[in-house]
Amino acid sequence: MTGSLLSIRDLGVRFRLPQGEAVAVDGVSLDLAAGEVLGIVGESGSGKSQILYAMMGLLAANGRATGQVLFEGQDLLALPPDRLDRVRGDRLSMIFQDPMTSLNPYMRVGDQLAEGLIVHKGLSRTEARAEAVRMLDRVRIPDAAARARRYPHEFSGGMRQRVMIAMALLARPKLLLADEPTTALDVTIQAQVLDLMAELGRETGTAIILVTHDLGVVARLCDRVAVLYGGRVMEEAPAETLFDTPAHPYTRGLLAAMPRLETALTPRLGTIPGTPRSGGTVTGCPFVDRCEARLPVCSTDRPPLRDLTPGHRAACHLTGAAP
Amino acid sequence: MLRFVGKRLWHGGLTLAALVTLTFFVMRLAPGGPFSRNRKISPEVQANIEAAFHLDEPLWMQFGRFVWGVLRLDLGPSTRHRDYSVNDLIASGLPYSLTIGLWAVVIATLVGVALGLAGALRRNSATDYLAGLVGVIGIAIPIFVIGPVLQATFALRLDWLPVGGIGEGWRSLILPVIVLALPNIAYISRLTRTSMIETLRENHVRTARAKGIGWRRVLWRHTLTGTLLPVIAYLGPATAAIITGSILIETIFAVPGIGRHFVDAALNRDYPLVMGITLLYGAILILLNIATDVIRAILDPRIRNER
Repeated sequence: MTGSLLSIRDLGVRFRLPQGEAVAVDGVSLDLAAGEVLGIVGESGSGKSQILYAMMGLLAANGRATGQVLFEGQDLLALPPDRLDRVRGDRLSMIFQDPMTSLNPYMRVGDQLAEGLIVHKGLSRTEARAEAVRMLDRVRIPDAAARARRYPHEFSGGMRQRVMIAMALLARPKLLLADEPTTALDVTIQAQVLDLMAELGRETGTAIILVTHDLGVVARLCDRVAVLYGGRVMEEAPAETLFDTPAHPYTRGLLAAMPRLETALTPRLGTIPGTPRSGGTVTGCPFVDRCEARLPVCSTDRPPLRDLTPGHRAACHLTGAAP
Repeated sequence: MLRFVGKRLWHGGLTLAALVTLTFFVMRLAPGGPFSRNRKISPEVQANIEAAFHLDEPLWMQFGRFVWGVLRLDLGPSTRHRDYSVNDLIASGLPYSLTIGLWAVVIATLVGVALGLAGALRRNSATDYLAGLVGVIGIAIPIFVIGPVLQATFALRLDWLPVGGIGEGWRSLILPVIVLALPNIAYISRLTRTSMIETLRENHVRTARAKGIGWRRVLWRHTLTGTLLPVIAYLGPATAAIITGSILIETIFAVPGIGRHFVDAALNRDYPLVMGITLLYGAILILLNIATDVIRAILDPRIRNER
């Protein structure tokens, strides 16, 4: 698609460790159109969060990103720090996993919000504060004007994450990256926070990449889903297609492990046997050790991402060749 | 905030009262007294002297007299230094200890924080290693080694500065201030470095970077407060210790401060002087701790809200 908002090409993320190099993300390519909501799912350590950190230039000091991240035509990975700072926080912003520690405890909430507007939009302190209060009101912080003068420790976890959402959407970004924004929150308010994020995203025309391990969340909010395993995209499809006709054995395993109403009476959830391999270079499919349908070729050749139907891609030797 | 300060002051007063009581009785528990000497004095003379200093009264009356004096800020006469009151002795020695101490604190803080920040921002660089080296030297080599080495170099060999005493104004202060500052530079720079590195790893600093507000602003507005809080907590008690005089510094550089009086007084059982200086030290320590708490409460809203 030409004119796509974001185009990730062959993104790799590696970390230098005392025992050698660890590959967190390995040749990931994804596209996103304006206003679209893409879910990235995968288990812990699948590299899903690192994709977002690489885009934001926030990788740990020992991490390095390769490939291209074209955002509005600019390669974020190649931008010098000052140019990157003009993009992030303005047209590209991020919500983090842990709202309890992601706000500055020494600064008034309103000032933390206003800061970005002052730097990016050149607003005066007063204007920026007024704008911040308006945004806090929109994320349904009660008594926003008074709350803006409070410090983060005076907010609950759910409220802090709503503050983070307000902060991220304040500059009306074109793309919002959300890294498991509700895992640290009470189950009862998770849905509320997510719906709020999606709703405001729709209003401002902001595209969202939502990283999560919760397929329920994906089903509710996402237009498209990418399934990540071992730092690679295993399958990518419109959300509905993925849930109806999952092609990759790993995706099928994930879906089987999802609690459903009709299976609520069975004693145990389905699981995928084994654990993800750690370290070492993978020659074949990263999922081969845990795959129930593996072929001899799976341990030797890396399966390429192949189009099954338009918009539905999977990286598996079983698909594409034979139905 | 006012309530916070009031509460700290009230606690400080209680602590001081406990200190007064404890010093008084512990001092009396030590064997011997101000006028027990090897040389024999006739019993009448001994009795007269003790009566002059009210040492013949029962202990509770002596204590009452002492407390009454403290309340009037009169610490009584020294039993050792004839014709001098404790107030006189403190008034003559404190300015020297205070001057040297305050300069040492200021220099140690500025240099220490600067070295620490530089080390944390450029980890494993030449600056970082240099700061580390200063730290190791400052902590590992005791004052009584560094002092004479500097004296031998800058006073005796190069003849740039006086060896000791206070005769040459600010020039006399340079060496004692440096020697007193050095170990504190070491502590403060290590503390600052560690604290800065920890703060830089915090999630809220990552949030600040994600806002795209520029590295400089991230450092100033989002890491400095968190970095300096532990340093400020260290500075309170450290300053109290430094400005009330270091016996080692004052001995090495022949400075007539109060640090020397304190040790002499304890050895001589100069009850009023020991208690006077203890009280002074205690009061300064308590005041500086309160000041530290207040500054930390201003910087950190979470401390302010503690009950």
